[in-house]
Amino acid sequence: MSKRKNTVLFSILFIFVYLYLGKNSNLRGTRRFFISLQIAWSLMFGRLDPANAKDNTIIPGAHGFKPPISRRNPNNPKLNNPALVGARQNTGKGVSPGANKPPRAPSGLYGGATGSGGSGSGSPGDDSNPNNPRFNTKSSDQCQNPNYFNQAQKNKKKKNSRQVNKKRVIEAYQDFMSKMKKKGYEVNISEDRFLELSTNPQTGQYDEKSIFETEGGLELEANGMVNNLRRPDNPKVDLDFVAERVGSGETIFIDHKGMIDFGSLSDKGIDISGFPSHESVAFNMGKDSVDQKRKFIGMDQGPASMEEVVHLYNFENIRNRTETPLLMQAVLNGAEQAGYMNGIIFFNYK
Amino acid sequence: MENKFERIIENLEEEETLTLGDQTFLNEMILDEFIQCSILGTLTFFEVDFKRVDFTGSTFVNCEFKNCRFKDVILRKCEFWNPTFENCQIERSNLTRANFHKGTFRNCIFIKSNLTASNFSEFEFIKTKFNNSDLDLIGARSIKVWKLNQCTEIEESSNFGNLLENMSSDG
Repeated sequence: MSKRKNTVLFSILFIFVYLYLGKNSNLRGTRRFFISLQIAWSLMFGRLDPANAKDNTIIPGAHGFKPPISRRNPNNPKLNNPALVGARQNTGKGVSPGANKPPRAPSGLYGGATGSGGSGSGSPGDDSNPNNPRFNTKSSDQCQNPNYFNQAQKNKKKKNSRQVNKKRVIEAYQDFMSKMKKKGYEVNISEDRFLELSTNPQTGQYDEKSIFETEGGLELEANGMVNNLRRPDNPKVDLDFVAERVGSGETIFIDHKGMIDFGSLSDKGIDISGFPSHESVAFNMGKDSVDQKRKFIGMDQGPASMEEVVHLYNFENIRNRTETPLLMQAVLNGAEQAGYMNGIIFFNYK
Repeated sequence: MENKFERIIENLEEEETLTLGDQTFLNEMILDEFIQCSILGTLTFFEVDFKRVDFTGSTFVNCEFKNCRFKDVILRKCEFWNPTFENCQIERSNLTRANFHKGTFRNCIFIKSNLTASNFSEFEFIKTKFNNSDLDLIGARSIKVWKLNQCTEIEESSNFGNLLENMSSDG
């Protein structure tokens, strides 16, 4: 209900109470006014208990509350979520099991009640079909209200904003410089340059991913393979960096890829038995990189050929160092299977 | 509404990477979070709304998203291994250069989202639509696309976006 409706309702109620008190009580003047106000307020909002309050759209300022999908239509229990309030009949028609039928969702938390077996156009009560207008209702209702996010934000008390600030990037710069020193590289990279490269070109802000990319790109520069490392001029050329190869001076595009160690999850007691092996991850990375080398060829200020795109594979996070030779081989195998094995650089593998 | 996920993020150390697994998040709203380069394994998100969450460069392994909504979410350069997306709406989100391996999008809808230069391998799209989304330079390997009980198999494509676009426009 809109604020205007609330205001009108409240005003009518107030006038009614005010007149009633005028006829049936001895209250006069401001006292009558305030008591009427109080009674009208109590009549309109007083019956709500705190648990229901946020669901009631009458309350001014309740726009910040999002009714969950399962409660989107409290007047029609058929539309409620099957997993939370019981299974709903699949309303699909004319779909018979057959070889050409799309695979069904496994039952479980979702209960399989709203699988893909609905009619093509979607029945009105079918949550599973994105064409169903109700599918879009939730976000549009909330997001049309410009105050929606603001209110939610106000209500939220963030203990810990994780947005990367300049201080964090400077710390990363200092770590990077001491790491390069330990590796025996003579580096002449200014803090400002590190800050500039660690800025996400899409958002204009510092972030963790950009810091990671910068560390890889600058290490390549530190060990004398490239110079003049910078972000691509054309943002559509979505590769991490562009630089010049030392010696030949030819322009190359660089993309920095890091391997994740799933051991960090098992350290926390998380079962990783169903996870892909590190080797299979490395194999796919190698395979995918070939496609990536092709993607931006011919774009304005992009690579002219696959030779101009170099992928850096960083094994820094792999704790079991005996694994790295296998992973390097897996990357090469993946690239070989995809048909192109050049432009691969490994680092932090010892 | 209890926001278990947000509480976990709030309890992280300042520079700690979010590493999380074996959990279910039900009926939550996750708003305005920066959780780049996270590692998330075996998580189920059921009826979870993600709004303005930055997951850039994160790795998701064996994660399920059911009846979830993503709005203004950044999944750029994310790696997804065996993900399942069911009845999800992905709106105004950035999936550029995201990699998806061995998973499914079922009854999902992408609205005004950017999937430029993303990659899909051994993936299935079932009744999934793309409205006003940027689908340039999408790479694909071993893909099945289901539409009206018809399956189209794609062995390899560097312009998979065209097919996805057709899939959406043919009703």
